[in-house]
Amino acid sequence: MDALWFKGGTQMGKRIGIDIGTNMIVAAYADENETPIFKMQRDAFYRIIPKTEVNRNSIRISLDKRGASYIVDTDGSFIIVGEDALEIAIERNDKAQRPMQRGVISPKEKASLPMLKLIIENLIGIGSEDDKCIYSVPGKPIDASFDISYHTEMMGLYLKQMGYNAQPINEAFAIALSELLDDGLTGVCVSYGAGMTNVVVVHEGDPLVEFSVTRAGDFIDFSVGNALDVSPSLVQMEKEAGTDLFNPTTKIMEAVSVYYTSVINYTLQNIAYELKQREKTLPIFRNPVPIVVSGGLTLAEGFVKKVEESLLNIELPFKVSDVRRAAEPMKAVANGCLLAASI
Amino acid sequence: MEYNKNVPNKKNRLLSTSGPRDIQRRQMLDAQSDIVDGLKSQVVILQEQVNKSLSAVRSDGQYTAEQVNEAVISAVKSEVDALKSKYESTIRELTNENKILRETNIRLSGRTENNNITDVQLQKMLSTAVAQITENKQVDVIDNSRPKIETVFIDPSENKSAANVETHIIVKEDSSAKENMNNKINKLKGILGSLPKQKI
Repeated sequence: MDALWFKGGTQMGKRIGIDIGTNMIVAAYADENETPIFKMQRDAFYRIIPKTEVNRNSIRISLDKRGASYIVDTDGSFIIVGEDALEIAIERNDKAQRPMQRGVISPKEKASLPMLKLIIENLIGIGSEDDKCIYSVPGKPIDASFDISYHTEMMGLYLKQMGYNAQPINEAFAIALSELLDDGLTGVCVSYGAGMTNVVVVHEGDPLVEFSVTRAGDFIDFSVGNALDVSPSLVQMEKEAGTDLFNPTTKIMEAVSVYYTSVINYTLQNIAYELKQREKTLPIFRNPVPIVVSGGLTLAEGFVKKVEESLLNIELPFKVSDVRRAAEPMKAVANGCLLAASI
Repeated sequence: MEYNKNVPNKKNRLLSTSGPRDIQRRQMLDAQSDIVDGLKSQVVILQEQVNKSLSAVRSDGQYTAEQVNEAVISAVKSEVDALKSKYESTIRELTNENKILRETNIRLSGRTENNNITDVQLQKMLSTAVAQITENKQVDVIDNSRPKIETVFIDPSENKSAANVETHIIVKEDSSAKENMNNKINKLKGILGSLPKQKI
């Protein structure tokens, strides 16, 4: 692994933003024209242990033919990485492994951690001491009792081991940096990811409220899987193939649409609740503020309309000017991290 | 005697001010107005004296109003401080007692599980705890300013790097973005200056 992908030599590796998500890792850097370049990798892997030497060769040929990304581990097993890991796992009626659960790494998943390091290292290369890397971390969860400090510290350690001067930034705040510049960094940003939904309410650059909830994409997959007795991985694949929340075509999509509404309502109700708790210390929002939604879930057709419908029943301490999707929902966090690395 | 009948009174009646009685009444009123003027000047003098006595230390050893006010405020403040320190020390004592009782409770629960504790032993332990409480009045309260142990995070995974394994990972670059970042960076610097420290 080297830094060859840095166009134009070492200068390009000076600032890196990386969105470390449960489902996807997205890296961003600036080229020689200060234009952002993105690289992304599915945060999943699937291990195949060959039974014989012949089997080993046939697996290798099959993977090469397929154009899959894989790693040959020191014990000779094949670790398929990324999108192919999900597909091959489903083909084998199995499920792919993910190094992260609910937005964070856990000491209990220590066997998966080397894979996470490899995926990240492959995306951003090796840095030097002056290279700055801003990485995203989730906000403190309000509906689960786990600590994000371990994740934050360990990711910082990994990036430092890779040679970077690493600094964490809240995931939703990174979206604010990317999407709310023309609004004076005032508004609400919600990142609907796989493991968590992250929220920030920011006023003139000051993050007033930051939190996360554990109801997000994985919750939808598992809930639909349980309700219809199908594999959550299958639900995920169908969901990502294209979801229209107002015109579901299959039973799975109908269920997906129902749980989407549930997650949206839950998030907005929690935003209203958290703001209500802090109403005495909140500044006055003179003008109506925008709500920016981002992340993989927002790619579904009709997502913004669903949020607008849900908002009709929510009381917020400010007027909402508009609900809009981030310009690039899958890249907004990495873009915000890159901008943060540039100031 | 000829009366001047052309001087009207308040009721527009004539012949009211020219008789001997009228003259007598007028003379009496003139004398009374002198007395009133004398009294008015006395009031002014007395008012000045009162003002002086309110603002300056009195020579007869008594206190001015301000001095009395200050003394009351100071007395109340010192009383409040005394009560505060009294309750603080009580809280410290209670914390200490609570700590000793908690330790005793832990020891007792350990013994109870083994079912080998007697009433005598229980009484002995309780009396020891009470004795500790009465003797050990030294405060052992956690002080926030004390040095705390550093939180250490250890990587539980094996230190596997890409150099040790054979990698065939294909990652495509997405260079669809056309907008130069300089404008955004300048805006961001204008609003934030530098990246705020994260509350993590």
